[in-house]
Amino acid sequence: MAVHSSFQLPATPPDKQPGWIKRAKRAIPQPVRDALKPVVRKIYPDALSPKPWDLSVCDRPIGNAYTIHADGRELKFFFLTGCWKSGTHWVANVLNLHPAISIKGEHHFEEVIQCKHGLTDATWFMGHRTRLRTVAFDALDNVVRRMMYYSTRDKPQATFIGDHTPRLLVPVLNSAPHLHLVRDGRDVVVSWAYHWLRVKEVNTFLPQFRHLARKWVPLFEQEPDRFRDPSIGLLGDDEWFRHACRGWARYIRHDSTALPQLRKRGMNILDLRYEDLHRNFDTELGRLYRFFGLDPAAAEAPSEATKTLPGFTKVDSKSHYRKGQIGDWQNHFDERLTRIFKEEAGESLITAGYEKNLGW
Amino acid sequence: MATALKGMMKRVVEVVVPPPPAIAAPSRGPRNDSPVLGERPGIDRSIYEPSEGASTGRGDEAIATVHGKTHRLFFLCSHPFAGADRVGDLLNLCTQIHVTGDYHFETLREAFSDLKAHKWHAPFHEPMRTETERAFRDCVRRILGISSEMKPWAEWLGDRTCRSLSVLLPGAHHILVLRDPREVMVEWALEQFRSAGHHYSRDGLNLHLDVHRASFLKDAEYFTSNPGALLGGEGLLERLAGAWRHHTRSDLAALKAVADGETDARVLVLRFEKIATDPGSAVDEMLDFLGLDAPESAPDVAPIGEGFKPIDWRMYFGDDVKRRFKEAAGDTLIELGYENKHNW
Repeated sequence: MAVHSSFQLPATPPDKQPGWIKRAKRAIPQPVRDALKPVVRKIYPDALSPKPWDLSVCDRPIGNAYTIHADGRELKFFFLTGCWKSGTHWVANVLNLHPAISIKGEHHFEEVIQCKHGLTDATWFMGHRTRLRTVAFDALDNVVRRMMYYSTRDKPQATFIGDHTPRLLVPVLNSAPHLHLVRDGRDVVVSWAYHWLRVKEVNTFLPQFRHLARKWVPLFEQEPDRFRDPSIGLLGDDEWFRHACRGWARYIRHDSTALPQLRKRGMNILDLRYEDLHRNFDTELGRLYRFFGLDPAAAEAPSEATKTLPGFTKVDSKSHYRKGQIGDWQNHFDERLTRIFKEEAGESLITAGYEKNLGW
Repeated sequence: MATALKGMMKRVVEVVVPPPPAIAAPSRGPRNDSPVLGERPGIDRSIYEPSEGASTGRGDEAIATVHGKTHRLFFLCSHPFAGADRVGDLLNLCTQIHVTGDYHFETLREAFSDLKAHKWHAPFHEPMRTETERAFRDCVRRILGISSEMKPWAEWLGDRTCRSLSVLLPGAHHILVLRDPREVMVEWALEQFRSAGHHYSRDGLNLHLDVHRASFLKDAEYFTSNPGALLGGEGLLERLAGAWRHHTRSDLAALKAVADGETDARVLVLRFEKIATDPGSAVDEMLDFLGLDAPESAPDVAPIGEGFKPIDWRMYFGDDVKRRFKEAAGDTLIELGYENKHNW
């Protein structure tokens, strides 16, 4: 029996009111507002009490865990994953050019995946029992759908609702379509180094690297261009660099094993390469939209304003969208970084198809 | 010559059978913190709820309607071996109550807190933040609510989990069971030896204790005959006492938050010792707390009451164990009212 249909939930409160109404309210004295309320209500009934969104539609998937019926049509959930700094934001921006797609992030649903295990793995937990396990997983799937549906309500005409989060390729909603993005690990770790230098809060660094943040972040603020020198900054610290290389390698090892297994289970996964998107942008764009069965011609044209073109005309080391180039690692890697990368992630680079051997 | 030979033999033995790694000195932590609930030590009332005038915004968050019937949800918490499971058994004698466990919703709580922990996470920002919290509560209600399928006529559905008191559903009823930690230490240590549990095995401590475990597994009365071995060994008492202290101070902080109106909940604090003395009265007290009438015929609590027999902790607490326990958790023992002074 479907559990979700039996539950009655507290009503979802109304969404926040449109901005112009809030500003108007602030400008008008209360006694005047009270007098105007009946008039406004007649002319614009939703102004004073906007309709609540019915999130309970997310609790009644149809046919599979990633399809619901809402707003008079079928909506499908999907996920964009990959290692950090592999271009997930860029691909999300590109996807959002199409009117039928709304993708937001980062929801970090890997916490939900961990929670599923935490609640149900231990044999003495109630969640381990078959019936409760089903209910718990069902409840957590509802959470994922609700959160994704809720966060994409600013584009209500979208029929494909997505989450982009840099995380391992692990299904959140069973058999939901995935886009799996890969980028050359050498560019990833260079980009990662710049990313962390932009982070100002030292406490967000791992404890063993906070001293690097204290040392380099102030200098990066003043002279970001100096950090092309691999002997300074985070790239200049062997321990940090090894940690970053191992992180990327872990993604490749995990995802390269997971991908064929998930495909065998019937999951629809589109492989994307950052470099292919750069080199064959229009072709890859078409492939991207057709994965959803959508007409590429319906998408808005990519532009610099929407941060959807490959690369940027201006390099801004202090921006999340820094450079957007392929092969930038060659401007940073010296003999030391090359040696360390080969030790920590060389095999993964071969697995990912970026090199044939370690002789690069 | 004999001494030199002994030294040589010792070195040979050390090479062949290396000594166990030294145990890192357990963190002592603060042992004389101010009492959490106020200047006067001890918990001096049994029901904690927001004081009058405190803004609670109370709503019906702690209900679940399943298959058309509305059930009220409550939570039964305690430290491990402090009696939550036995209190759950007592409550299950009542037809209007169905208690099951362990659910360990704190796992869910941590996951949802992590979802909105960082500013680069979408749920960090409003309105997603509020929606995430609402989704969490909905999850708890669904998962706990489905237990009604086992006893659909029950008015109250309870989660019995050995965890710290933390309010998952605003306005919910909670029952917190406290027990003399010295009895908890004995039962917990026995379980650790029996199962080679987490505290026993971590960081190589077991290498110092395995000799006792081997004897205990052959002879269940081993520690009765050798009581000093249960808690006397290196490190185990400090770990267990430290964990108990951390758990209990978290309970006390949660009670204070309720009493100060910062958290919306109602909490009944029960003492294991009181339940052991008169389980029938304890059941009446809990029924009253949940707003249920006492049943016309009182349930037979005797069989379950057997599980509340106190343990003679004194036989396991020699002077050295007492000293080490006082260092690790003596202040909190006094704050709970189990002793008045440190020189017990």
